[in-house]
Amino acid sequence: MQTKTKTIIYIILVLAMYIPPIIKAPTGWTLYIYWILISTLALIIAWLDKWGEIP
Amino acid sequence: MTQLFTIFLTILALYLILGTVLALLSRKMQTGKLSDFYTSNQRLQGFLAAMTYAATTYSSFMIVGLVGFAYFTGAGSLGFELTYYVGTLGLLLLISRKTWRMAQERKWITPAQMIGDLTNSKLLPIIISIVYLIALIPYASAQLKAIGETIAAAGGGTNYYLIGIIIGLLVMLVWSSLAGIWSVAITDALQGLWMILSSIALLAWLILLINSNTSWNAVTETLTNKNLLTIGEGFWKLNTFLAFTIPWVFFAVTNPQVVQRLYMPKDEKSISSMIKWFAVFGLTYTIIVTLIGLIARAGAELGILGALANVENKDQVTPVLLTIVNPLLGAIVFTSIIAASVSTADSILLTLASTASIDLAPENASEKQKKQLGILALLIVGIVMAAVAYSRISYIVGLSVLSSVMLLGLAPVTLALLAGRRIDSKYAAMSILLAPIISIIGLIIWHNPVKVFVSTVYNIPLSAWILLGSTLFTIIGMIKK
Repeated sequence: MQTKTKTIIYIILVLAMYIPPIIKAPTGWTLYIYWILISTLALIIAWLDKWGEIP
Repeated sequence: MTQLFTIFLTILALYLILGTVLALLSRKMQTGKLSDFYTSNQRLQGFLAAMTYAATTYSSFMIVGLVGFAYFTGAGSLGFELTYYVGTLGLLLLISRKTWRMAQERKWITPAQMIGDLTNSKLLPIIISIVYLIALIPYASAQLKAIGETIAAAGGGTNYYLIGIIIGLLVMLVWSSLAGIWSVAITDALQGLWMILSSIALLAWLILLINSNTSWNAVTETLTNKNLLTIGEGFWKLNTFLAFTIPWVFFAVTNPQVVQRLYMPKDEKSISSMIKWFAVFGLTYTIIVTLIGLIARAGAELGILGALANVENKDQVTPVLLTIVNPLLGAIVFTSIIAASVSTADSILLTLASTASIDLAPENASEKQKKQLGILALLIVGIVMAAVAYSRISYIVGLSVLSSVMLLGLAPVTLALLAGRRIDSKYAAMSILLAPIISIIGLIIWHNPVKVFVSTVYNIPLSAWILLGSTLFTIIGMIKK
């Protein structure tokens, strides 16, 4: 994966963490699972991708 | 002496003996060089690199503070901690290889040295070292305070607070001075495993307790009724969420004890393993810890964990919970709080010592003299940390929370320099000093570090303004260069 692509993906993932406090949703365990899913995506990318450097 | 305290002292003794044996064995890895003492001379294997990264990053805040946060404020605490986690993983994937390679080429030992080298400045490392001392001594002192309070809470009473601090100080000094980073990393591996395994055991105990006393629907209903599975309202308003997450998202490039760990892996494979296993550790530990807080709250509300109902302070949730659980489990988790505190504090202590050896030592000092200066700094800083912790001033924990804000100005400078940009050192200094200056002004105005941390200006958290200001100084510094 290109470093620029990876940078964009991680910026999107970090921003995605802020969506619930902005839109005040979801609620219940869905909220809990939402954050875990985003973090799991970050973990999967860390496992699958070769580590890179700043473009 | 209660049964819990007796078992706790036995487990604590076991932990101390095991750690000290490992620290002694790690001396075989030493070569005697200064770079070896502080950064392993880039010989750390992937597993050790991952465990020392994780154990240094995750302090007793997790099993004490975050459990309390989840208990009182709900799911937002998971979001806050995982935002830090995603940010850290992203930064590690982007900067780790380049930082590691440049550290190898340019013989960096400390992050202040790195910034001084890349800006061609001799003054900047000194300024950064002072910022580190201001920001990190309260942070490390809060870890010692946690050790004292853990021993007191395990059944010893307040008289044991001082004994706890002395034990904590001695362990930190011995484990960090025996073989430098080698003894720290090897004991960190033990402590990291202890932290995660004991938290799994505590969560399992809670799940079994809930299963045998009520239904999970009742747990969900209770947490929902208490608004603990919502976000954007109550404690976790957007501003608070931003104030908590902004300084922590950049933790991987602002805190020297973790930046220094990027210099240590043996090879490319080791640094890759470090990131992967840190990723597994961080996600697992965060989910477990926040679940403990949430389930404990439901248990308290449903009358299953009645003793927790009267707890008013978030830092008391875990200690009170541990007096309810099976004494053996309680003793193991109490010891994990000490492990989490020691693993963070001794890493900070060694990093501050390396700064004294490299960034503050006279240029013409020999390697032996630099190492002696580092050991002296270990002793002095350790004693100062213990004195601050013993004073028990309420400011300590608050100041430790503020440490991440005080270091925030290092983020744009470090990222720009690692991206190959050149920055005028005067503007780099302004960028770095902006955060501690604003934090100190905030302390003068509000007299409370936590208030400074969560305060807003025009509805935007102070940390966001600091980041913006530091980034502007960095950009101007890049243009001027």
